Amino acid sequence: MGSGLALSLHQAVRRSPAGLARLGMAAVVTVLLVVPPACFLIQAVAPRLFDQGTSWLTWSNVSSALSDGLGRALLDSVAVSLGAGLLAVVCAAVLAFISEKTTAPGRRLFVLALWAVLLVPSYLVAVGWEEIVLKSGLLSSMGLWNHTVQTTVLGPVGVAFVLGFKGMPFAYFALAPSMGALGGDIEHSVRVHGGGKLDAIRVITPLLLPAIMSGFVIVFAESVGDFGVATTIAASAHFPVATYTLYESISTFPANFGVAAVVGWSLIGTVALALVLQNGLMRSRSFVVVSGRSRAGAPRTLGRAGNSVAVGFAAVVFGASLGVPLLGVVSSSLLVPFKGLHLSSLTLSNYKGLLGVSGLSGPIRFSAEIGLVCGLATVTLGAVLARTMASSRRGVGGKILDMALLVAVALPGVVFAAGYIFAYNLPFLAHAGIDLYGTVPLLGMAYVANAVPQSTRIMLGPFSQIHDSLLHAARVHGAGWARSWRSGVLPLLARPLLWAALLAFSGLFLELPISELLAPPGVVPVSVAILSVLGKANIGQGTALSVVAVAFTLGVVGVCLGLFRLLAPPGWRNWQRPAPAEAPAASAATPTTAAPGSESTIQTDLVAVS
Amino acid sequence: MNSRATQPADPVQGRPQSTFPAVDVADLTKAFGSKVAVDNVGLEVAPGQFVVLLGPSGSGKTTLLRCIAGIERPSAGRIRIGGVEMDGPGTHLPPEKRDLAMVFQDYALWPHMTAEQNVSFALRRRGLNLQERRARSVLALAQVGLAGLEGRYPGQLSGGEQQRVALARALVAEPSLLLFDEPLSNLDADRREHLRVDIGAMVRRLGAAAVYITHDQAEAFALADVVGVLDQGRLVQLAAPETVYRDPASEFVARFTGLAGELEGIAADFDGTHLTVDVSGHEIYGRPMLGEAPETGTPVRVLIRPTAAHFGGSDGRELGGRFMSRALSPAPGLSASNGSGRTRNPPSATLDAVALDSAFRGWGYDHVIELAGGRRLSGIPNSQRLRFESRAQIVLSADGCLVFATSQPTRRASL
Repeated sequence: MGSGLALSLHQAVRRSPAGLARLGMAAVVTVLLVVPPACFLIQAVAPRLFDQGTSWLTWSNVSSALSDGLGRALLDSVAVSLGAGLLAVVCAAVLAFISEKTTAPGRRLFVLALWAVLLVPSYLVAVGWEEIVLKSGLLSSMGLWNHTVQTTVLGPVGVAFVLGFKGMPFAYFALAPSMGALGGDIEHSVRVHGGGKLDAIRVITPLLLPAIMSGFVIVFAESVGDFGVATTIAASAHFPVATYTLYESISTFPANFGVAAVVGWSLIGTVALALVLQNGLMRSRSFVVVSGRSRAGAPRTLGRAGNSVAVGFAAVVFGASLGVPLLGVVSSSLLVPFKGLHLSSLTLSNYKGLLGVSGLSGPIRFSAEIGLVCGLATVTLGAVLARTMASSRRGVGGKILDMALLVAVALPGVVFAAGYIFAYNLPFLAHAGIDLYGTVPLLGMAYVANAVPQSTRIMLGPFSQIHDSLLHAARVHGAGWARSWRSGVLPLLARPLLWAALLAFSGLFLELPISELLAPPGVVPVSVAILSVLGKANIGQGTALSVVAVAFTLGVVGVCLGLFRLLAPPGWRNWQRPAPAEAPAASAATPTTAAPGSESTIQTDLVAVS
Repeated sequence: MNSRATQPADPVQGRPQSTFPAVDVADLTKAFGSKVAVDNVGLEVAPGQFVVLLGPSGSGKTTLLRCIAGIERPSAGRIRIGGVEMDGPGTHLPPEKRDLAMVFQDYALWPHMTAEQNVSFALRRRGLNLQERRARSVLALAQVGLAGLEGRYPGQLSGGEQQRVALARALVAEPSLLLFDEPLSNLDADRREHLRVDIGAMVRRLGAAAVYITHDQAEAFALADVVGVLDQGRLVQLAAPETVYRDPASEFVARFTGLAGELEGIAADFDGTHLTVDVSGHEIYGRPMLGEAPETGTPVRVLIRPTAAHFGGSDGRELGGRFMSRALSPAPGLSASNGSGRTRNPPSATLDAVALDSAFRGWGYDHVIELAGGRRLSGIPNSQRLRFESRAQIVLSADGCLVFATSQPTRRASL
C-alpha cells in the first residue's frame, strides 16, 4: 500500500507538479498562519474543544473579559487609534504636498526618513520619549522638567502621538502618489471654466478622500494592534489598552486563554471593521480620475518664507517621530542620571557595562542569528506566496490565500503569539511526539508566521509587475524552469527581495510581542532584554542596549545595501536607466518594477497591506 | 475543420529537407475552465513554410501558438514538431525541449541583460563557449541592423530596436521552427513595414518554418505562404492568401479580410460563373461562394471587395483610370477553389451613388458613398476628390462581389 501511495504521488507530481506545489504551500500556510490563531480564538466560546473548560459553547469568557475591563481597554485602544490616525493623516498629507507639489529643499529625503521611522520599533520610540520627559530624563538634565509635560506625554495623549507618528509612513505612502498625480488637467479645467484657486482646492480635495481614508484606516489598524507602546508608556501610565490586556491574561498564572481569546476577537473585529470600511470606500470612490492619461501639475516654487515653513514643518514632524525619541535613548545611555547636562556627566559606562554583564551581548547575537534565519525563511515563503497571488492563473485557491494573508496582516502579533502558546501546548501534540512548545524552533515559526503576510504584501507589487513573457521567453529559448527564474526574472526582483529581506530581518531582530511571549527559558531576544533591563530600573544600560541594537540593525541594512551596490552585476541595478538620446520603447515592453524605497512600490505594497 | 496545408514549401538551400512536417497539429483543443479557446484545430506546416494565423482578438490564435510553443498544455489533441511528439496522451514536452524560438508581442527582452546578452542566451543550448556565443550574438545583431548597440540595455533602445533584438535572439540559434506572436503590433506604421520585410527575408534565408500570428490582414497576406483564419477557436480556412481573399470560406473570412460594403438581394440568373442578383430592382453580378449557386429567388448577401468597386462616368467614361485598370485586370496566377475560372471581362453593374466622405491617402482619395436605399460602400478610390453629396456612379465588378446565401450561418468578425 505504501509503494502504491508513493507511485500515485509520483504520478500526480508528474501530471501536475504545479498543483502539488500549491497544495504543499497551502499546507504550510495553514499550519503556520491559520491553525494556531484559530485554535486560540475558538477558546473564547468553546473552551472544552481543547480541554480548557467544561462547556462546548459558553459566553462566560465574554462576560469575564468585560468585567475585567475589556470594554474600557477596547475603548481606550479605539480612542488613541482614532487620534493616531488623524495625526498621521494630517502630517502625511502636508509632507506629501511638500514632496509632490513643491520644490522645497530636502523633500527628496522624506522617503529615507520615513523608512527610518518604519524601521525603529514603537517600543523604542516610547522608551525614548520616557527618557526625555521623566524626572530622571534629558529635560531634567537641562533644567526643563515639567510635571504637566510628563503626564501629558506619558498618558493617552502621548500614546496617540507616538502611534500617530509611527503610523505616518503608512499614511504618507498611501497619500503621496494620489497627491502627486492630481492637479494638472483637473485644476486647469476648473480655472479655464472660471474657477479660482479656492474653487480648484474645493474640487480637488474630495478626489483625495479615498487615499486619505485608506491612510487613516491603515494607521488605525496598526495602532489598535500595537504592543510596543502598550507595554511601555500605556502600562506605565496605567492606561489600559486591549493588546496589553490580552498579554496580561496570558502572562498570569494560570493563563486565562478564554478571556485572552475574547480580547483577541475584539482586536480582530476592530481591525476588520476598519478594513471593511476601507474596502468599501475604495470601491465606492474609484481611482480612475488618476489615470495614465492625466497629467500632474508642475511643482510649485515656494518663496523663502514658504521654504522655511515647509522645511520647518518636516523638521518638527521627523524630530517628534524619530529625532527626539532617539535623542532621548542616546542621551540616557550617555548621561549620568541627575547630574545635569555637562560634558562631565557624559559616560560610556553603560556601554562598557553591556560588555561586562554576561548575557547582554547574547541577546544581540541570538536575535541576529534567528533574525537572519527567519528573515530568509520569511522572504522565501513570502516570495512564493507573492508569485502565486500575482500569477494570472490563480483560481479559487489564490483568492483564499489572498484573504488568509489579509486576515493574517490584521492579526496583531500578540494574538499570533497567544495562538502559538496555546496551540503548541496542547496535550495531544505531546502525545503525538510534537513537542515544540518552549523551544527556539517554535519561536522561529511564530516569527515567520507573523512576518510572512507583511513580506508577501511588500513583494506582491514587484512580482505583479513582472510579465510572464519574460519566463516564457527564457523557456522557449532553451532554459529550464530553474534557469528561467534564476537568469530571467530573479535579477529583476533582486532589489525588492533584498529590501524585503532587510525589512524582515529588522522587524524580527527588534520584534517584541512574540519574543515576550514565546522565548524559551534561558533565551532572551534583544527586545525582551531591553525591556527587562529597563524594568529593573537600569535605564542607562537598557537604553545603551537599545542604541546598540538599532545601530546594529541599521549597520546590517547599510552593509547589505552597500554590498549589493558593489557586487551586484550592473544590469541588476541599472536596467531602468533611460535611453541616452531617443525616447525608450512603450512601457508595456519593459517591466516597470520601481526600486524599493520609492513611492510607487511602497504605495502599492503598503496600500495592499490594508 | 481539420485542414492540411495546401502548398508545398520551396526547397531551401543549405538546410536538409525533412520528410516530416515542421509542425503537425491534430484535433487540438484547449479549454480554460468552461471557455474553449481552441476547438478541434488541425494544421500542418511543411518544412520551410511560412504560415500566418489570422483572426480577431479572442479567436484562439495566441492560445494555439502557445500550445505549439509548449507554454500551454492542450486539453486534447496532438502536436508534433519535426516528427517528434510534443503533446499527446500522457505526453507534454516543456518549451525548452522543443528546439524552437519565439518572438513575443511585448518583445520579452530581459531588462537586466544587454542586447548581446539577450541574444546569446538563446545560444546556451547549442553548447558553445562564451567567446563563440558572444561572436555569434554580435553577428546576429549586425544582421538585424543593430551593429554597435550590443552593449545597450533594452530600456535604452527604441521599440523597433527592441523588436530587432528579439528577432536576432530568435534567429541566432538557427532553430527549425520560429514562432511569432504579433511581433509588429506595438510598432508604428513605418517601423512595422520595415521590420515586416526584414522578418520575411531573414526567416526565408534561414529556411526555417514559421508560424506567425496577427490580426492584421494586410500583414498576413504580405508574409504568408499559407494563411489560416481562426474564428472563436476554430480554423475556418487554411489556404494561400490569394485563395483566402478571392474565395473566402465563409462570410466571416470575407469580412475579416476586408470589404467595401454589403448588399442584400434575391438570386436571379446564373450563367455558370456569375450570378445575377436583384438588389432593390437593380441588377448586380457576383460570384457564388461555397459550392453551388443559390436557386433563383433565394435571398442572398453580396459582400463587396474594395477592389471590385470604382467610380464610373454617367456616359460610360471611367474616372480615376489607373485604379480602374487595377480593379479589372485579373491578378496573375490566381485560381478559384470552386473550379470556376476567371473571365477576361467579368460583367459589371453600374449604380447611382452620392459621395458622403473623402479621405486623402497620399496616392489619391478614398471615398464613402451611399447607394439608393441607404447602403454605404467605403474605400472607393479616385484620383480626384468628390464633393460632399455630389452624385456619381459606382461600377461593381462581378469578380470582387462575393455572394452568400443568407440561409448559411453568418459569423461576423469582431474587429
